[in-house]
Amino acid sequence: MYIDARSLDENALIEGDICIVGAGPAGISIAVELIDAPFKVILLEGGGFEFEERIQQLYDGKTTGLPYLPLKSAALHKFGGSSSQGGWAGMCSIFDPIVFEKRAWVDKSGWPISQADLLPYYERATPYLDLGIYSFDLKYWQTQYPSSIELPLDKEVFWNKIWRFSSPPTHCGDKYKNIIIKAKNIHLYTYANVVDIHANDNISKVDEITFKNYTGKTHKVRAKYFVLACSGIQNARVLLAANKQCPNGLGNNNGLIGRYFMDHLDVRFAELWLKEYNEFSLYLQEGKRPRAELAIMPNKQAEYGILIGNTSFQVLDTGHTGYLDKLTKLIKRKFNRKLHNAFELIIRLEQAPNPLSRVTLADEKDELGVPRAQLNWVLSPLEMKSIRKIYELAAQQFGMTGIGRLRLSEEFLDLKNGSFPDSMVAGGVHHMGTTRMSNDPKNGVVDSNCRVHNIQNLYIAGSSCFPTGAGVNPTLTIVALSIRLADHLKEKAPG
Amino acid sequence: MNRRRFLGFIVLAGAAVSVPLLYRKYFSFLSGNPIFHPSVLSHICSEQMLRQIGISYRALFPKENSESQLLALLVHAKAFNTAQSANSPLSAEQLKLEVQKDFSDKKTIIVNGWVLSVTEARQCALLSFH
Repeated sequence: MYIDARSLDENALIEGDICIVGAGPAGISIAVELIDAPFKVILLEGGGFEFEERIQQLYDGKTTGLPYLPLKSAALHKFGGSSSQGGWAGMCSIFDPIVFEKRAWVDKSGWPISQADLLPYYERATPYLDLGIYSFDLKYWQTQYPSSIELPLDKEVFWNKIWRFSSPPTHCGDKYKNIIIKAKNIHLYTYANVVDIHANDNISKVDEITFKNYTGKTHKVRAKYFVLACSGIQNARVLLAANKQCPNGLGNNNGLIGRYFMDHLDVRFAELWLKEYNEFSLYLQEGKRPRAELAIMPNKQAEYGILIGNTSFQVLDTGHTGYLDKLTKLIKRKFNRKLHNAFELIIRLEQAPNPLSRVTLADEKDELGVPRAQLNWVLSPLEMKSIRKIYELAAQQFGMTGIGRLRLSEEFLDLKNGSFPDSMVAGGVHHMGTTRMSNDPKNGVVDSNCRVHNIQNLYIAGSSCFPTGAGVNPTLTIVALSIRLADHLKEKAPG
Repeated sequence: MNRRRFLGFIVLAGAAVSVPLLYRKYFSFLSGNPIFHPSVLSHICSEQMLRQIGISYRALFPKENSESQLLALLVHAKAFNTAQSANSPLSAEQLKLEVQKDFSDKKTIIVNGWVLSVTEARQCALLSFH
């Protein structure tokens, strides 16, 4: 069922069992999981089905700290969210066991769940993103693609982490629009922007939320359970802006909401030049065929005290040294073999949880009267230490094996200690950590079920719940965690 | 043919034969001697790039800025001179193992952005003298 909220009469009251705020990959996957469940589900989306500049402006905000994308460009505000056209590249992999563990060298690391807890949900998330067979096993994919040959690197140092591709990228909005509209128990409202959340007197339960749009009309939703699925920055903003009853924001007794903002760093400071031309097919993306990235073994991460960073390869077109090489390449291409000898080495690095890296409310308000978000993005010396060590390990491995040599960029070599070049920042545009998960309310905003501590019916979905970000794009984990939350709600919510 | 033209012809003919031979002998000395050609890096970089790496290395390490010193270091600090090493060069296999050992022992250096083994950087430096 679908309603354009602009057509509602002023002060409409909508009632249901579960209210999901936000229709990106998280909100949509929860709604789809709840189709035909014995609940009335209200799904609110702030935008419409198409991109609209005026709606997108509601995401605008201020940035301080390291240079970052303008916030209005950092997430899409429409049905489908950032999984829409232009917002998602379709890259998927699972978080490794070490991501979930407490790492002594990474402060505030550790999830209250393990990879084993999430694995069944990764499998269930796979069809949502049209990834095909559920497997992240190198050996399996080598049987499917025999040309996927591993580099002969030291297995004590590097392992091959498999990535899968939604290709062309599945746009959740396009894929699930009609399914959701046709679902009898799902009531989708577009142009429904949440502007306030009201709790009971002792702030133990959310009573209702208020939403608005550009028509100037205000409406309310009452439900037994509420799920915020508005994106990594907006989840924090909505909670912080719900400050009429709690001056610091709803669920923010310990001042954690908005803190520990993380993104992935996209580090491109090195080239790999091979001694001999190689197909490199295990490591290069082609359509839906899986590819591998070089990941550092957990014990080496511990030994060197570094963050998780996975290294991928992108072909450099300039990769030849002379006419003989060019000729070799041409001849081999005649035999339909794509051969390369030079690559850009790209490290996708997690960011260390950092309380100073933070989303707060700006003084300025948006057109609907909600304070805008302000992002102060901060990195720590651990990120640069990790980048340097990963390059060092790669150079050492490629050197020892005689495969090739690494060349580092001048920009990287000229870096002063503690500085980060502009080209490195705002790499992933993956917003994580602002409502982090921990079973201890002093360390996290939500518990292991993604429920806001001390508020019995308020849940958060999406990457804002990630305590650490791994070196992996978040969409698959967002969907997996959302399916897990949907299962939890099915158990909790009344029939 | 007068005497002057005959002598001129002889000189020109001699030059036409001897210059290519000398040139070839000189470059076969370079190309045939693995000490001047780091095995992996020679597949990746042009000879001009190898020389530039060598020049940069010599600038970074002025104490190694002589052929004899570089040769001595390449053969484990034995007091070699150029003539001796040219007659008894290190084998390509020995040098390859030395380079691998450098990487294994983290005896690496960054020259012109390249992360190199110290041995192959010295090989480039040696080449840059020619």
